[in-house]
Amino acid sequence: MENQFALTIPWKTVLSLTFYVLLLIYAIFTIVLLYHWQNYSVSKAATTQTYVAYFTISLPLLGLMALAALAL
Amino acid sequence: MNNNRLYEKIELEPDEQVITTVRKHWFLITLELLTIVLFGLAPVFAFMIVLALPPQEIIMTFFETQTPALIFGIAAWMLLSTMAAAASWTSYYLDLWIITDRRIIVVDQINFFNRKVSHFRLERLQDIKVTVKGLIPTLLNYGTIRAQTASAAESNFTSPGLPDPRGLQALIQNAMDARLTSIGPVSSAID
Repeated sequence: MENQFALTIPWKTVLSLTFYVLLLIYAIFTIVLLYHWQNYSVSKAATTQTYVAYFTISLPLLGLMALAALAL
Repeated sequence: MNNNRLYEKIELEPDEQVITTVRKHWFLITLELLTIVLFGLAPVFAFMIVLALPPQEIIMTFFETQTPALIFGIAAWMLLSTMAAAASWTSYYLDLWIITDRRIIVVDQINFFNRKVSHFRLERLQDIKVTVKGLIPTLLNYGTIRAQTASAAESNFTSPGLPDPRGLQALIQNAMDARLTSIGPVSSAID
């Protein structure tokens, strides 16, 4: 029997929704990560280096995802 | 060493001196991060393999029409891998042994929401066992330390993957002896 209620979601909408979900996960994860390093780290230098490495890698990837999902 | 600055998050007793701090062996975190990096780059390797194969119309059409989705997918995969690497590094770095002239402070950062800080007084330590098991641990000199305490209130503790376990055992033993000498045999017997 043919499904008469089949829903077609545009590909771009799927990408946008996925992007916002991942953005939310990233934001929550980043808050938890920063909380741990702020509260439990015993070395300021290691904390700074970790922040620099984490944001240097993750922010360009997030930008690329935003570009692919929202702009292209 | 400026203990006040380094150990401001861990409360030391007055005049307590930090002898050393120990983290797990570098090989363990290197192996973990390397696995995550290879896992994170897997889509890039897959993409290169597909490009190296003879071109097929279906694949080429998919690449041409779904370029944004492909870029998005690869970037998302790499972002999740970055987050996994950050979690691993955090767990490694915040997992710490601090050996002072009075106690051993074991900080066990199992994951983000599972953190245990234990203190073991040197005068109550009874036995320290070292296990180095396997080819790589033997070659790289890391292993497990198990310590038994005399107190019923303090549990025994085990920590795997510590570098130079025999050196660490000797260091703790020396610190124990010095502590017992400083407090005297009568008070150690009472404690």
